[in-house]
Amino acid sequence: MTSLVATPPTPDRGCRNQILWECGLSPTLHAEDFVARVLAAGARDVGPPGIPSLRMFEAPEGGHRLVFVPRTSRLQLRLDAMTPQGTRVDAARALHAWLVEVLTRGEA
Amino acid sequence: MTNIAHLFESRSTMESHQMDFLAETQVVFHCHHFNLFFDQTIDDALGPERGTELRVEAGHKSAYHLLRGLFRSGRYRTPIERLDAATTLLRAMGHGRVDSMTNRSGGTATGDYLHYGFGWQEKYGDAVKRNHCADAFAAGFLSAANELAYDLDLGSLATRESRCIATGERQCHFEVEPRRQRLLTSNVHPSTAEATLPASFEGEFEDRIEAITKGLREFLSGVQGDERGVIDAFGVLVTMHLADYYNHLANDTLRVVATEKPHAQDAFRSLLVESGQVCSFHTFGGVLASPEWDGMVGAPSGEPSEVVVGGLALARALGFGRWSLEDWIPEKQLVLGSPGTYESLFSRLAPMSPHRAPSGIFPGAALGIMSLAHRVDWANKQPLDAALYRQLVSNNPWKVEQTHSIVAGDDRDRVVVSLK
Amino acid sequence: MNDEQLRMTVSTIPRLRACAVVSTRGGALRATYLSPTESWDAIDFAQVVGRLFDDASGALGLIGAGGAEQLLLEARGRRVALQALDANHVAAFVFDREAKLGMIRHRLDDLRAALTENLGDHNGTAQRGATILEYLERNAADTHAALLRVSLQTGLPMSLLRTPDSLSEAELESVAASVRQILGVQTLGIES
Repeated sequence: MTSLVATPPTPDRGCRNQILWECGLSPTLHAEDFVARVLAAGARDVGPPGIPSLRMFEAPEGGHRLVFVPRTSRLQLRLDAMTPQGTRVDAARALHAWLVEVLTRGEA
Repeated sequence: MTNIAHLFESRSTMESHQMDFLAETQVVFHCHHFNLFFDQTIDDALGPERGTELRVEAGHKSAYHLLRGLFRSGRYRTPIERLDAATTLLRAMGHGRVDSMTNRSGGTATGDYLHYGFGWQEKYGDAVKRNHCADAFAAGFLSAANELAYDLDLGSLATRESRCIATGERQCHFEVEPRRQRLLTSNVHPSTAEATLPASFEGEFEDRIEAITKGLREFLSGVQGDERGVIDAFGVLVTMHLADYYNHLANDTLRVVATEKPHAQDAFRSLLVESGQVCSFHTFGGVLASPEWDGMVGAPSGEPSEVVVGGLALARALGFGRWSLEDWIPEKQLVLGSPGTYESLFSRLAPMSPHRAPSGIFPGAALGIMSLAHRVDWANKQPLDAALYRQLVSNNPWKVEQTHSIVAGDDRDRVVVSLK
Repeated sequence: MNDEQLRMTVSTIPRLRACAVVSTRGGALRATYLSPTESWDAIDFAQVVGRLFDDASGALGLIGAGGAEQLLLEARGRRVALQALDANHVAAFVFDREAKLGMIRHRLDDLRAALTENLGDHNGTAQRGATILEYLERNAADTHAALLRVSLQTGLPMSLLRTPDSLSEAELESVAASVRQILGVQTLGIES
């Protein structure tokens, strides 16, 4: 099985306490493919409307978001603002695990 | 149920000066770091009890003006409609959710996800114990909302937050009671802003700043609180807030400090400037580091001009004023000018007083922009955390001075950041 | 020493317009008495006086004369006498131009003991003040702004807080309360 998610989540830059996580995607994964897989897995497209250079999806559970920059394939896992502080690392890992599962579905 | 789109119909922008209004009340965007630091400064000056009173009063006065402007449309007629519109607006502005169980004689209200209480928990958690309630703005807002819902005069009701999540409670609670208070209010109206502000002007990198500002404004036009009343944009917790809340507080507090603690005036002024640095680091820095910025503008490469341009565009898009770059010698000097800011406009319009609050946001953010441009390793994605902030401000090689002010009759506000 | 103590000690001196007790380290104003005729900024005055006395002592030291004990400044409108109280403090007396020099010298000699006594025991408070502010610096969330917050809460000028050994007992209590409030604690880890 080939993992299409290159790296486990690491804290992303910002002023929030463990809310923002950076997740590196494999360079072989096309932006359109990423979007298609994530939507097919039940994530909701939450805009922002009219700005194609930026895509945001809400994961099916937890209210967490995937903030994706198609041009650079930068992906941020943005936990829901109300995620209790002691559970954020686990929440980020769970979201990452869901993403790995979504992106590796159908892989040999 | 109130239609949020209707609430924002009265949104307008004074393009020439990059100032925003909602129902003819000036609004700006600020993050929880700035909001907490600013309120903390007021409480430091006045003590927690009197600080809370003044903050509630500032919220009351500014919200009354906002909601009165909103209800002028005639769309919301009954008390239920008006209260629903008010609490929906509070949510849409990112201040959290309140449920009001009141009649014209008062009552109680609960609050969830309120910006200040939640923001405190988010920022400090259990690290710093807080003994007094944090949501004074929401308390003042509730007073204004109920007064207008029941056609009562300003000052007829008073609201006290009796329980707050910032002090360890599970939910915020408020008590709304009848009270006769004389509240004097002066608010900035778009027409007086236009009549008062000096002519706008351009600075360096104007085309770049304008283009980014336009994109940011387009993005921000769609930003509003979710069903809980939380705005999480660019990875930053922001609110659309009332400029006059900050302005009433800064001016009223300075008046007290000047009279009762004259030796502490310098500290008060310095902390207002510090609040500007807090804003620039957390809001500007947070936005510049965000994937949203990456997508819309491009991630900062480490070239300082990108950060200076970005900072100025952000100030404009957030409604602070039309900040422009007058001069810049990398590492040595940064000169910013603006035909007024949301702070100086209020002070310019305030009745003549020896105690008009100086600007904090303009000089403080200028200092912050210089630090962000020259002392953050953007290329290697240096974390923008509390440790970096302490390092930047503690070992700051620059100082800032405000050399011009529209309050003094100058044709602009100007701040100069230079080496110590 | 506080303003009231100073007022009670000096206000009856003939032709005296003002008096300031100043810490020579940093020019922090410890106490001030201004008669109704005076309206200038005592804090700025204290800073200059502190520097002036220090410089004078420095000049005298260079010629082997020891530290300064008294300085007299004469101007068209005033006579200002600076009297060393102890190693760290000086009192500045502002007189009418007509005040007699002999009277000034005589009064300064008399007052020196009374003013020095009111400065209190500084060894204990000096150490405690520095310890409390160091504790604040180590533990405050916003370290660089912490001292500004103490100034704003207590009303004490920054110049005084930067020389914590100059704090009086009452000022120290006020600072300690402020530090407890800032840190959100009931007691500081360093207090007995």
